[in-house]
Amino acid sequence: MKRTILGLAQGVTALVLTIGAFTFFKACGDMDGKFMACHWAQNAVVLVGIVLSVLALVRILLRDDNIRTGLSIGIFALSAATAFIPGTAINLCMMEDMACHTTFKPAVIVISVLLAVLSLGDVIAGFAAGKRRSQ
Amino acid sequence: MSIKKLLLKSITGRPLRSLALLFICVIMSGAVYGGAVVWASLDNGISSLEKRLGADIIVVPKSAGEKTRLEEMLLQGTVGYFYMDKSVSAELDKIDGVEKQSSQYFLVSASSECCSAKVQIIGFDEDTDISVKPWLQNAYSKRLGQNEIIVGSKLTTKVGQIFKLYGVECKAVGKLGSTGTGVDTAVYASSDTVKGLIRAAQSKGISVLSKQSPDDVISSVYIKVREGYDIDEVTAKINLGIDGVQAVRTRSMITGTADKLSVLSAGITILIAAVCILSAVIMLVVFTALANERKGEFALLRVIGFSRARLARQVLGEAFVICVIGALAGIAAASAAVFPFGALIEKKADLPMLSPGIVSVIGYALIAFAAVCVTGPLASAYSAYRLSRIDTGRILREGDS
Repeated sequence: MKRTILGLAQGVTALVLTIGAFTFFKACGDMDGKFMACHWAQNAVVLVGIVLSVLALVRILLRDDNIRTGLSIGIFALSAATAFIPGTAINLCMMEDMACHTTFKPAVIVISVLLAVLSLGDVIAGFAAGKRRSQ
Repeated sequence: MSIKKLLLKSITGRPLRSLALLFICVIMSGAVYGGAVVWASLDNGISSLEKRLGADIIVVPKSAGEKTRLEEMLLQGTVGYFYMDKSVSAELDKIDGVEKQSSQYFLVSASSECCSAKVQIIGFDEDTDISVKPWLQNAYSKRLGQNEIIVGSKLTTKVGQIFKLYGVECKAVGKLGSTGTGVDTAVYASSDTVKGLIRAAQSKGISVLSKQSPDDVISSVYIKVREGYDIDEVTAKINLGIDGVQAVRTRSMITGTADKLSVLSAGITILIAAVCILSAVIMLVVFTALANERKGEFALLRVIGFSRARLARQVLGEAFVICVIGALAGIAAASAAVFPFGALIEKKADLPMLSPGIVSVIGYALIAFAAVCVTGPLASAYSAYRLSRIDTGRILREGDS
């Protein structure tokens, strides 16, 4: 039950990250027809978000506890890396009062850290269940 | 079963009840802590703005003299430029009460070359300056050379990097600390550098000035009034005595902001008080209802040897554990909302914001934590007293029948 809830929570969080990155917390729009640096950071987050959503969906559908734990390890690593995409791996706009700094970056960091915490919780729960089974 | 285990079993055994209480604690601690941090940030922002204004009066061309436009440039970082004839400076010298004056030059970068946004460029005269240099000292104490700039804290340019403005390569030699105001997105340079940039803009076909040479114009004059003179009177003298200019008292520019801040502060205080009172009342009601519901359970615990004091400790302990978890979760959630999204709150509130220091933040967190951890056990104290005084025999007989 605990792991099912954690799996569903990971799926919902990954979807919010993917959809939100190009809708309600998207980076800056184009300026005079030119895309700014943050646009590419947004694309990268959406792409990684899709991969995270697929992993989370497979994690929900599969019944094998060990595979679930393995998938959660992957989600943890990828979501932790996602937090570093805006501003660190890919530059954002120059002024920190622009949408990419005020909305996109903090939202991506908060959501990906939340996803990392959820997947870490699932990994710990998976190892604990495995330990109980082996006893 | 150990006492600690019984406490935890009692909390996890009724997940819905525990989650509801936890939610109340999260809301209460989040409101107290988050509200206090936002309030302190706004207060710091307005204090920083007051300190940074420096001058008593700002003189600008009449066309740019609308108070709101100046406020927007100072507070929200709205970019803009305007020019007036340099002779205004000489005329101001004749006004009685003017002790010191220093002119500044405003310019706006072209958006395409500054990788995505227009940047306000402010040129100041280092020999006469009274408003910029005092707070630039921490960023760069030497004299700014030609094409050397100091960048605001909200620009991602680092010290040593080259910043291209109108094709001119300018070197960032310092970075300012955060002020929480619009000047955080500006670039500061010597007046000679800005004049050179105006020429560079003209050579690129961007008409910043209509006809004059950059040497014949200034954008604004910052004035320090001589001691003993009334600032309002000097302001009026300038407005009456010099044509084509508008003198604005700096303090009057932040009055509107200060008023807005006081309204917002009052709102935050009322919200915190309302959430605290409501949470305490809900907790009291929930714990009282639970006391009735759990009479049978506690009568059994009495029968198996629990003392009255032990039962009271059990009730208080449950409330305390839930409050500790709820308070920590509330503080974490509020931190995740207030700090990363601080810039967004600042933008939406249209007010200068400057985050308080780490010591103050820890202080607010401790206050919120203490408020929740005291309210919860206090609200459950009456229930604890009632449950420890139950008539075991009567409750068990009622349960049988």
